[in-house]
Amino acid sequence: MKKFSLIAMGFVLLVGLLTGCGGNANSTKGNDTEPVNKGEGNSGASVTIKMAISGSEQEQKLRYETADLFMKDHPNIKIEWVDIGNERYQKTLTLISGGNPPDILYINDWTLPLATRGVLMPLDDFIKEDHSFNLDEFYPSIIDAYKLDGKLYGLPQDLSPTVIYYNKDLFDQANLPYPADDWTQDDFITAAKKLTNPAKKQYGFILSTWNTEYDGWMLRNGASLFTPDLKKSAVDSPEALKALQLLKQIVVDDHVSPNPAEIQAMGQYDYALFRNRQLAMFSSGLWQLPGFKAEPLPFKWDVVRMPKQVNQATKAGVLSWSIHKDTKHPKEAWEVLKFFVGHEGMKLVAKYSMALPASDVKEANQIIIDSKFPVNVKAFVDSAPLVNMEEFRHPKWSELSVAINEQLDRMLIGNQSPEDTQKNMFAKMNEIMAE
Amino acid sequence: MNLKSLKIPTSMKETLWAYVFISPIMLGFAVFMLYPLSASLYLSFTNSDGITVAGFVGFDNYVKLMSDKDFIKSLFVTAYYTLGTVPIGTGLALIVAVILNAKIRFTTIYRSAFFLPVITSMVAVATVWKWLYNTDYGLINAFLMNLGLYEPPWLASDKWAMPAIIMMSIWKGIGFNMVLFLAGLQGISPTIYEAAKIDGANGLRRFVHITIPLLRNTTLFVFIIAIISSFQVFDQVFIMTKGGPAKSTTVIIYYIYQNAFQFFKQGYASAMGYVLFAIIFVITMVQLKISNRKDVN
Amino acid sequence: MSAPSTSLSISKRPPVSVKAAAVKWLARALLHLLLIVGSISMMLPFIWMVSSSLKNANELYAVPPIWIPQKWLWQNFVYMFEHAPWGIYFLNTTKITLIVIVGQLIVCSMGAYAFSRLNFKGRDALFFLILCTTMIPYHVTMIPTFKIMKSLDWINTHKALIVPALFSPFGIFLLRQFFLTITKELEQAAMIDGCSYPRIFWHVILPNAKPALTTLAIFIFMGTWNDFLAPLIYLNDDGLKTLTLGLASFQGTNTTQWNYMMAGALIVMLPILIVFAFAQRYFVEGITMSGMKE
Repeated sequence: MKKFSLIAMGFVLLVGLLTGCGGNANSTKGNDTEPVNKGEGNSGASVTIKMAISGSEQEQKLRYETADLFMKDHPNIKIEWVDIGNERYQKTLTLISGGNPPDILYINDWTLPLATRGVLMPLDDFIKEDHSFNLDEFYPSIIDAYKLDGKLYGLPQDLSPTVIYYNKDLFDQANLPYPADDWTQDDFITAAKKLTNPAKKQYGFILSTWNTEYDGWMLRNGASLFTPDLKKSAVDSPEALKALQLLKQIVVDDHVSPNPAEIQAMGQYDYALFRNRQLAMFSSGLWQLPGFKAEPLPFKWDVVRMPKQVNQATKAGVLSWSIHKDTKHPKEAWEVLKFFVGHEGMKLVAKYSMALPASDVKEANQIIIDSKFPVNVKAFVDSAPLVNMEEFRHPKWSELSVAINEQLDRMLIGNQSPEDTQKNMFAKMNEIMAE
Repeated sequence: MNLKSLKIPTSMKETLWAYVFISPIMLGFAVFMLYPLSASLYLSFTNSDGITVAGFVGFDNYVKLMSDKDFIKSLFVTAYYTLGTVPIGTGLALIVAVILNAKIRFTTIYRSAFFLPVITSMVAVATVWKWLYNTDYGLINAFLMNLGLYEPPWLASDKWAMPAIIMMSIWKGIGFNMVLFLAGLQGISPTIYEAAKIDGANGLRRFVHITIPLLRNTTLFVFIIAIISSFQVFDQVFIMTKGGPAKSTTVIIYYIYQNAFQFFKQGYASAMGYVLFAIIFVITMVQLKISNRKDVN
Repeated sequence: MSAPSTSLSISKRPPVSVKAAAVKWLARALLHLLLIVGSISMMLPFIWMVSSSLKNANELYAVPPIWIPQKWLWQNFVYMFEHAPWGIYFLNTTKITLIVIVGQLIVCSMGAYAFSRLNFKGRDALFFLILCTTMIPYHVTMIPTFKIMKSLDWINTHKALIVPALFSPFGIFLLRQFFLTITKELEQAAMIDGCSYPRIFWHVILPNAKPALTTLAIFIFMGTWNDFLAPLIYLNDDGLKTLTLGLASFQGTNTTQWNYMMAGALIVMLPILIVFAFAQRYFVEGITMSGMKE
C-alpha cells in the first residue's frame, strides 16, 4: 500500500527528527545549568554568565566583539547570550516571571520598575570595593536616573543624545544661515517656518513621536514632569504651559510639523522624509549615522544641538545593564558588567559609532569627534552632559507615558487647547501616581 | 446479564474507541492548556504584577473594569471592527471561492493571487495601504475625486481610521477564508448540481439552494473562527495606527498587552482576558445553537 | 457520472446559436477581467516588496512611490545572505514545520473523527472545552505556559515550539466540520462489512477528507513557518533560531534599513508561496460551478 508506506515514512522521519531535537536540547542544557563545565583546556572552574542582548544584527555584533575581548582576558568566565529581540518587555518579563532570568539584564527605562519589585541587585557595594571602577566618569544626570532610595541599580553603556539633523541645501535655498550650536528656540522657529513649503509638501521640522522628545521641549523651557520627590505631577507649572503652547504652535498653528496622526498616516519615518527632502530638520540620536553612511544622502547636511531656551537640555536613547538579584555568580557578573561599561567597552561603542559611550571617557569620545561624520558630530558629545532622563526615575513611567501621549495627541491634532491639555495631563498623572 | 457472551456492546465499543481517538488531544489539553488557563483565571482575582507575590483581591479587578473607560471603549472599538470585517469578509470570500472553484482557466494563478495577502508581510501590506489611503497622492482618494465624491482623511482622522483598517483587513483575510470555502466546495458532489441543472435551476438558484445549505458546516467554522480572531485583532492595528488617532483604534488586545507587559498589571490584564473570553464564549454558543436548530429542521 | 449528465443537459437544449455563444464568451471575458483586476490588487504589496528589496535608500522613500528601481540592486540579497546564517535558520524552521504538520494532522484528525462521527458521553462538552481555549488571549496565558516549559526543561529547545503546536483546537474544529459532511452511507457500508473504527477512520474518513487535510496542512505550514512570538520567547541561541526570528534581528532599535528587510521578508515567505501553489493540485479542479455562466 502506497499510502501506508508513506505514513510509515512520515513516522520514521518524525521520530528521527525528534531525537535530533533532543540532542540539541542536551547540548544547550550542558551549558546553562551547572557552572562545573568540563573546561576545554582551561584551568580552574569556569562560570557561565547569561547576558541579555537585543537590537539589530549590527548592534549585536558590537556586543559579541566586546564579549570576545572580555573572555580573552577572563578565560574562566563564559558569556552566553539570551536574545530578547525587539519585544523586549514581553520577553524580559516572561523570563523573570517564569523563573529563568539572565544574570545580566538589558533593560534601560525598565530599571526602576524592576528595582522597585526587588528584581535587581544594587551595585553600590561592588563599586565601593572595586577601586578599578570609577563612577565619576559617568554623567551624573544619567546615573541619577538609575537610583532608587539612594541605591544604584543600573549602569549605562550607550548614550545617544538627540540633536537636530538639518538639510544644508534647503537652508541655502531659503537664504538661511546654517544654525550654530548656540542657537535659540526663536531662531529655530523662524527657520522652521521659512523651511516649510506646503506646495512642495515640505515640512520645516517633525515633532518626533519617538520616546519623550516632547519632554525635551518642556525641559528646555524650564518645566519638568514630576515634583522632585516624584510624588506628584509637575506639569501644572506656568513653564509647562508655555512648553505646551510652543508644541501647539509648531504643530497646529504654524503647522511646520505634521501632527501625530498625519505622521502615522504618512507611513514614512522621519529619516525617510529627511532623505526625500520633504523635511528640513528633525531631531534624532546617533543611530541615523550608520544608515546615512552606508547610503549617502543626496544633499549636504549636518547636525546641530537642540535650540537653547532656559537651558539646552536634551533627551537620549540610553542602553543600560543591570544584574539580577538571584544570580549565582554576582562577582563574575559584576566583572562582565564592569568590562562592558569600562574603557575597553566604551572604546568599542565609539568604534561602531551607533551611539556615544555613556561615560566621559576622553579617548573614546575622541574617536567619535575624529570621525567628522558629520562635520559637527561634536554636537552629540557636547549634548551628553545635559541629557536629562527624568522619566526613567518613575516606576510607573510606562503607564504615565500612555496617559501623557493621549493628551498630547489630542492637542496636536487640534482637538484640545494647551490649557485643557495641561489640566487633563496633570489630573491623569496624579491619578496614576496615587494608585 | 449475559455473562456467557463476552461481547462488548457496540455502544460501549464506540465509546472506548472514541476515548482512544481523543486521548492525544486531551493529553495535550491537560499538559499545555489546563494549567495556563486555570493559572490565568486565578491571576484575574489577584493584584499580580507578574513578578512579586500576588495578593488575592476577589472580584476587585472585574469591578474596576466596569468603570474603566479605556477598557469599555476598547470593547466597542473591537466590536466595531468585528462587525465591519466578519460579515463582508466571509461573504466576499465565499463568492470568490465559488468563482474560483468553477472550471475556468488560470484558477491556480488567481487562487495564488488571492492567497498572497495572507502570507505577505504585514509591514509591506501596511506600507502599501498607507499609500493607497494617502490624502495627497493615494489611489483611493484620486478615484473618489474623479467620481466627485467625498474624500475621507482616512488614517489621519479618528472617524475614518477604523473603516480604513476594516477595509484593509477584509482584503487581507479574503484568501484565508477562500481556501476554507474551496475545501468545503470540494465536498459537494457534482452530481447534485447536474441534477439541479436538469431541473432547470439557474446559477443563482443553485448557489442559494445547493451551495449555501451544503456548505453550512464550513460556513459555521469560518464564521466562528473569524469572530474569535477578529475579537483578538492586534497586528494590523498596531502597525497601521498604533491604536490612534486619539485611541479611536485601540482594540482590546492592545490594551491587554499594555497592562500585562508594560504596566505590570498581570492580574488586571487577566481579568480583561476573561471578560473577552466570556463575550466570545456567548457569541460562539449562540452560533452553535442556531446551527444546531437548523440541523433539526 | 458527470460526463453523461453533462451531455444530457446539452442535448436537452436547443442548438447553441452564434449570438448565445458570443454572450457566453463576453461573460467569460468580463469574469476574467474582474479576476485579473482583483488579483492585481491582491498582489500590489507583494510587488512592492519585490521592488523595495531591489532599491537603494533614496528610491525606497521617494514620494510618490517609485515602483521600478532604476538599478536593480541584487546585492541587497547578497548582503542579507552574508549577514545571517540563513541556512541554519532554514533548516531549523523546516524541521519544526514538518514535524508540526505531520504531528498535528495525526492528533487533530484522530480527535476530529471522534468528535464528529462517534457517539460518546460528554462529546460536545469536551469539544466545546477544547474550542474555548482559543478564546483566551495568549497574552494572559503566556507566562504560565512558559513555566510549564521551564519545568519540563524545554526552554531554549525546539520542543517548546513543536510539542504544544501539535494540539491545535483550530485543527480539530476544522477537520470536525469537514468530517461532518461526509455521508453516513459510506461508513455504514463499512460497518456492515465488519470494519473496526480505526479501519473506518483510515479507509473511509481520511481518503474522503483530502481537501480538508490539505487545507489544514497549508494553514499549519503557514502558521508555524511565520510564527514569531513563540520562537522569540523560548529560543535564545543563534543556532536554534527560526527564519522569522533571524529576520527580526535586522530590525534595529531605532532605525531599520527597509530594503534589506524586504529582501529578507521575501526569502522567508517564498517557500510558503511555493508550497501553496503546489498544494492546490489537491483541490481537485472544481466541477461545481461549471455551468454557472452558461
